[in-house]
Amino acid sequence: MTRRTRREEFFGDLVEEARLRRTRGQSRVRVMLWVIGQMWTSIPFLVRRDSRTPRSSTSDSILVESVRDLRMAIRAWRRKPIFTAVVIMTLALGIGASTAMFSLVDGVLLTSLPYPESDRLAVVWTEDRARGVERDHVAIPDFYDYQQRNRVFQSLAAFYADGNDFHPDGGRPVRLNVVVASYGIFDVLGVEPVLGRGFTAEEDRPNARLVAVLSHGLWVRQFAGDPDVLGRRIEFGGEVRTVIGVMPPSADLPPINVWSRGKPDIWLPLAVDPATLGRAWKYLTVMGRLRDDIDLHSAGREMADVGEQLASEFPGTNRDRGVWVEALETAAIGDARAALWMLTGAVSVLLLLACANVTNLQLARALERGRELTIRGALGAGRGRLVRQLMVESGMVAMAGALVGTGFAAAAVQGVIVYGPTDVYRLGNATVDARALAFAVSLAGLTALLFGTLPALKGSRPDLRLALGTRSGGTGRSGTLRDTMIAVQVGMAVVLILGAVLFGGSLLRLRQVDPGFDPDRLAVVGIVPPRSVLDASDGQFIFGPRTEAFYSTISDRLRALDAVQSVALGWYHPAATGITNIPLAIEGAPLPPGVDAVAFFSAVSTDYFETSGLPLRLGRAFTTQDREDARPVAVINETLARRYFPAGNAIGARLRVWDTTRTVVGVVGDVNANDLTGHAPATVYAPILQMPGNGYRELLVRTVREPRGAFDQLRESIWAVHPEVVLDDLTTMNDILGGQYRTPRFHAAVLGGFGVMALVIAAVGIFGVMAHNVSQRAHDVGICIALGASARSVLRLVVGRSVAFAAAGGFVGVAVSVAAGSAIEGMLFGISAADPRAYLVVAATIAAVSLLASAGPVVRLMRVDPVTVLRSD
Amino acid sequence: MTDREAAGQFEQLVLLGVLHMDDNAYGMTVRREIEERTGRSVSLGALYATLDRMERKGFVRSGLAPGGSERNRRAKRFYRVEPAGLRALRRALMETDRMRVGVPAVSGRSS
Repeated sequence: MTRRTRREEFFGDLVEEARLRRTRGQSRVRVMLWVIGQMWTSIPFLVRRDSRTPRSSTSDSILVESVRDLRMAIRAWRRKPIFTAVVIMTLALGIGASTAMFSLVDGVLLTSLPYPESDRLAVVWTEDRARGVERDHVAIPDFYDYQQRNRVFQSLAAFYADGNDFHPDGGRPVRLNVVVASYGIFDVLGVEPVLGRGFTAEEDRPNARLVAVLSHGLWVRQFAGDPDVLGRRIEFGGEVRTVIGVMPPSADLPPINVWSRGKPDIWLPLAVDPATLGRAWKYLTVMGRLRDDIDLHSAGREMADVGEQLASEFPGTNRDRGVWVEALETAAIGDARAALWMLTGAVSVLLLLACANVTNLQLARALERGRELTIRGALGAGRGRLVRQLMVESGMVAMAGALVGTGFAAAAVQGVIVYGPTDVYRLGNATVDARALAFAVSLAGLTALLFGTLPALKGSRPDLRLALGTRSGGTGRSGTLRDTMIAVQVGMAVVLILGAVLFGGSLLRLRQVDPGFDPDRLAVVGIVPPRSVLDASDGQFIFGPRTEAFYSTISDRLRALDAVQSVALGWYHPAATGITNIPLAIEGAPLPPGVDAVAFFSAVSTDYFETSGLPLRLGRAFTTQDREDARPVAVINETLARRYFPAGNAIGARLRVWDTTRTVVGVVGDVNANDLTGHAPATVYAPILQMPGNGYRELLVRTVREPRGAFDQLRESIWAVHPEVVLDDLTTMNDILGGQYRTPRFHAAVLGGFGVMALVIAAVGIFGVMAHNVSQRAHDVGICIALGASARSVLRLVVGRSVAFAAAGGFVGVAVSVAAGSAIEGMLFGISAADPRAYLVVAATIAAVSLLASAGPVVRLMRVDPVTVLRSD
Repeated sequence: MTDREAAGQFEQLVLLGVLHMDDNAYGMTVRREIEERTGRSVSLGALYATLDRMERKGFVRSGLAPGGSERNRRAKRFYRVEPAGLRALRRALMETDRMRVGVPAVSGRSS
């Protein structure tokens, strides 16, 4: 009788019956399921190594025993389904959140950029030491000097981003994302065109032939992927250009330029003469591919030297301009890195909290089964054997938690992509894939070790008292373990709830910031004029008198509507990041040394300030007299006035900005909404009629009621003037401002969610331990009460230590938070990480919840009848 | 010692199953017989383990025969109940009967 024969007959019978069932009419699926069921229940028979009795305790292999343990574990868990569900859900929360975080970090931080050898790419920044800006852009002449003087890059290129209008033949005009770059850009990135070629050095000069390279997306969308697109002449940004190439879909740039607006649709050559340009205006992003034998550090040192050279050659502009180098992969992530690490920290805390909770649950269960385990021990199962069995049980439920958790993680990652921050590069690439599942499974193994080991060791100790039915567990080492776990849970809960309070408070403060203008009932839309209203000049299409008449008609039509209060036009809406850091020279006001004046510049129509609700502080706004042939004028904002005219004599001052000297005629209030740190940039406004050739971009409409109700009317009125006008993103100012809160809102929501989960898990944990304490010590309490002890001392006996541990845990949590607080200061607004009020809120919350959780058991304790308890002895 | 032993619960069912199936008592038939008559689902592996154990105790005897195409030519093992097995079965049934007397809920008789 050999092993092989037995198995052979077994499978023979299995096959025979399966066939029989099929002929009797059972479906394939049912037969399959039956076969699987038979295999599963027959595992002990199949894995047996010899034909001796299966109950022999020493000769079975680890495999056999583990299989048996697995089946016993399933049975054990099934006996208490609610308990099992609670444990699995708790683990699923912790492991799921961790897996989601892993996928996010993997997609955003760890996956390399889609360029060949992307770790060799670096960004060259300048550092504005006077104003404390670490990552500042590069002026055009500086870029050309970097190119000539460096020996560390095999290729160096520069670019800036922009938005401009494309007028396709016989189609509606559309606003595109533009990248204007030096000719080496495609070399640096290492992308090969799918059609045609990139720019040549000749095309990258002023007065060269006007050319353009299309992105893959644009080629498909606007040109139907036509292979004959090369050589076509297209109208873009008022100029006619020849298409010379099409880039692959991977040709993208991370949003590290100040004007970055999303994936590039079209690429244009920089085509400037550095000799004619000043070094004050910095708006280029410089990127290069390191030479093979150079590392980032050496490149940084070399470029710093180049920066020093330029500083001594051009002290007027470059004196406090340091140059440094950062890996592109690091630069691409930017602020998101800090946020990701903060969230990873929060998730780890949640996971520890879940493990501590499950440890207590496992402990309670192990002690409950003390009787069963002690008997097994007495029958010859070694301690190691018992420990292994308990560990298999832990591992199994941890795996279940991992599987459910991975499901949670997939949903969570999708939620983050849809509702989370929009400015995190490559966030959309994060997926919960096989790697995430592997991570979840490994984490499950780790957590099983964490929460399973101690209860398994405790539960496997032969303790005859348990077998004989005497109660214990309120004192002794298991009590300490349980209370320690409570301390851990309270501490972790403190950290998470504090995070929720801080980020929630930060979001509230943000929303309280006065934007400086009136965003209510303000509709905003980008307006792209059709070709027929552009004026032709020298083969180019510009905004001329015909365009002006077009805009006047639209404004008049809109004003005539009942629903409209006022209408204005401008280059940007009040909250936009437009042209920044434009150099400014103030006549007669020598600047403090080391600071060049820069400002934000915008051109606006006469009723812009009134329509947007920007208050006029001094002087006047623009009128229709401020035309091209009249004296050039400007309106400045309070910040600029305070900074350079502290004596209040701004009106009448003369400034030179963008090649024109203008007289200040008015001062308006600051706009605080461009970036949410609450510092308004110095701003110069010019009348749009005095900026010829540069057209309007944004239309502002203040409506009598909620703007959305008037959207249709607005659209129709505009199209009645000209049906081919393209309206780019019709929305309300409040929605735009709301969009700026997206990231802080996301952080507050996630941490708020974690805080709530932490509270619930900790509350359940506290309740469990209190209830356990009460039921275990009921006997002792009965004796104490019979002997005349006071309620207070009874309370102290039963819950005293747990409370003490919990409080200690709370203090440790506070200490950890204080220490870690400085790391998140940068992400908070208007609230400090050490704000005592936040800690008070947290303490109050945890105290309240703990009291609530303990209420039930404590009340029961007070009602203990000593007679009943003693009788059950 | 084996002579005094009563068959365990499942062993009783298996022995009875083998007896029912007569000359055609092998894994599949015995399993199906028990399942059909008792209505409880029987694991083939458990059945084999029990038959193994009973063979070692001398309750049953087995012999191999070649299998046909309906079982991909795998061998078939037929079982017969040995006298020791019959004695164990009878003993178990008698024990249950004796215990049953006087318990109206399961005795089926009035006394």
